[in-house]
Amino acid sequence: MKLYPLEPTSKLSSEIEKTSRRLKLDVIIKKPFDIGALVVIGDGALDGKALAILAYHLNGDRGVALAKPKETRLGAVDKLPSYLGLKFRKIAILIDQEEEGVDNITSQVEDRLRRMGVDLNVEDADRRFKLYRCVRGGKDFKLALAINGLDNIAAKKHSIEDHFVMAAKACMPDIKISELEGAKESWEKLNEKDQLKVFEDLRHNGDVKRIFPQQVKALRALF
Amino acid sequence: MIGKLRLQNFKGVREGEVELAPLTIILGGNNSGKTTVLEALFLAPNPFRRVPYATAGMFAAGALEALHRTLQSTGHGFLFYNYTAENASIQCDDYLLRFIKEDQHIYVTTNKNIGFSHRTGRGKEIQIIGTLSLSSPSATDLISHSYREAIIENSLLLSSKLAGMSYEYLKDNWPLITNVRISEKVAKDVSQLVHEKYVDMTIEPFFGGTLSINALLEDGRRVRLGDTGAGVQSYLIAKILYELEKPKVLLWDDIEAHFNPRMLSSVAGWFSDLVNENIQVIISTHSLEAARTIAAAEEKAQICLLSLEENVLKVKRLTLKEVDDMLDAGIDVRVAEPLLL
Repeated sequence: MKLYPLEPTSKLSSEIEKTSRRLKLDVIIKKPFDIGALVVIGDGALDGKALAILAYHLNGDRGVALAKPKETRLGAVDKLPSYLGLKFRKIAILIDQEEEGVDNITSQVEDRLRRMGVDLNVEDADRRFKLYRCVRGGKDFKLALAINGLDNIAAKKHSIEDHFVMAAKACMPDIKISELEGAKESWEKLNEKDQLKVFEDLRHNGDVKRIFPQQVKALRALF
Repeated sequence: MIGKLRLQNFKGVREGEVELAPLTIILGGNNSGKTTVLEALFLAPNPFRRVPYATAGMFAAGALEALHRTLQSTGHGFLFYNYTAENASIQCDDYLLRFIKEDQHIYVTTNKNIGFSHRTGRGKEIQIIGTLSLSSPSATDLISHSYREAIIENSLLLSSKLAGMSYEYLKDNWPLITNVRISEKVAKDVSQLVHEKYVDMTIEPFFGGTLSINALLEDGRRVRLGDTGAGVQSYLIAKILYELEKPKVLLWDDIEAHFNPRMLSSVAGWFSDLVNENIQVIISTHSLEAARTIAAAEEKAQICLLSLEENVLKVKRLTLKEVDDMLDAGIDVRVAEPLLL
């Protein structure tokens, strides 16, 4: 899958561009061809790295636009009217779970959608993934929601780092990684070289479907 | 005020229409038609009218011809779409300016009863305001003179490329510039925005006795205009040319070039003052920062997102709030333009 950042000068776009270059992913396009789908990243730069790696593995050469709103997490959902002003019929939103319950997050997302006049029906669902068929102001579109985090990472706070910690455990079994203090802290304790090793392993050998299950589902729902 | 501009077979635009506001900020990618729109508006009042840029005959079409020259190639063939169109037209509301190609000549006509009756090489009787050449920079190949008055409200085009072409005009008008204290006013004005304290401008001999236009510093030193920062130079020249020409439509291509935010904000305030004096301002920029700064200073501002698809001009009008809302959503309108239009 190829990514077309809608704000190429943002920190997230630079991060994705850097990751794409360093890992030779070639996932950035500078000119949009027939793009009808959008990925919205609700959180930070590491989400961008995850997306670059996932884009490399998924959906062939088809293109999606990419946006990172100024507001994080659920604030990203509130920007939906701006995205619907563009030619998108399929939108995926990736947000961190943090310390909240998954059900609580999905019900907040659904409340926000209804408040902005979206009629929604659940088409597919999993623990951290939901696919809605939506209609707003006569425009129908699909919205995929992926909540970052993994149950088998025993931490209070869940985020994209859960997935990278899991990938680190798989590719560097000798390294001691404790996620109890929080996957974010564990991930940040790894030095740059080890982090790069994880990214490279994900690029070459990574079972992205097992490590990023909900994100893979959300991105596959775009096509 | 020009409400609507319509182009046909003009430069890179096969066809297109742009609605204009009292202050229009044209945003768009490279090759999106921004400069073409401004050049059309510059030619519209009359391609043969005198303009403050040093070219043979100092006429509007000649100034653009000088900008477009590449290697030894000259002439006005660039006015026609793909160089091959037989006619090109610029329409401002109900006023129409047409360029008609015949052999090596370009007949320029309007839909007003103005100009001279002329029999073309093919024997057709038409009313023209002048002729241009496809291959030569001069204006009047076929007739002794052209009609040189502005037919609609006069426009002035500013750009960093044109700035250097205005020195001769400034020199010729120097008594006016100094005696009504335009030079002093703009020099002091620009001093508010930079570290140097300029008090006036002078024309004096430089090395070898040749003349130069200088900015005069408070301590008596002189700096040649060409040696000042590019932003200072653009600012000084724009303000002086405006004061001399007093156009009803001010056009500025690539406004962000050379301006830091302080200077940009000052220019934005100036544009707002002009709009309130019923001067129409139309500018182009690549910079979202510039567009937002200028739009925020004037409530009559309209942002116009331009794109050229298969040589057809596409336009989306946006308010500052819409641009800001999209920025908050992580969308830069300049990049999202193919998905917006």
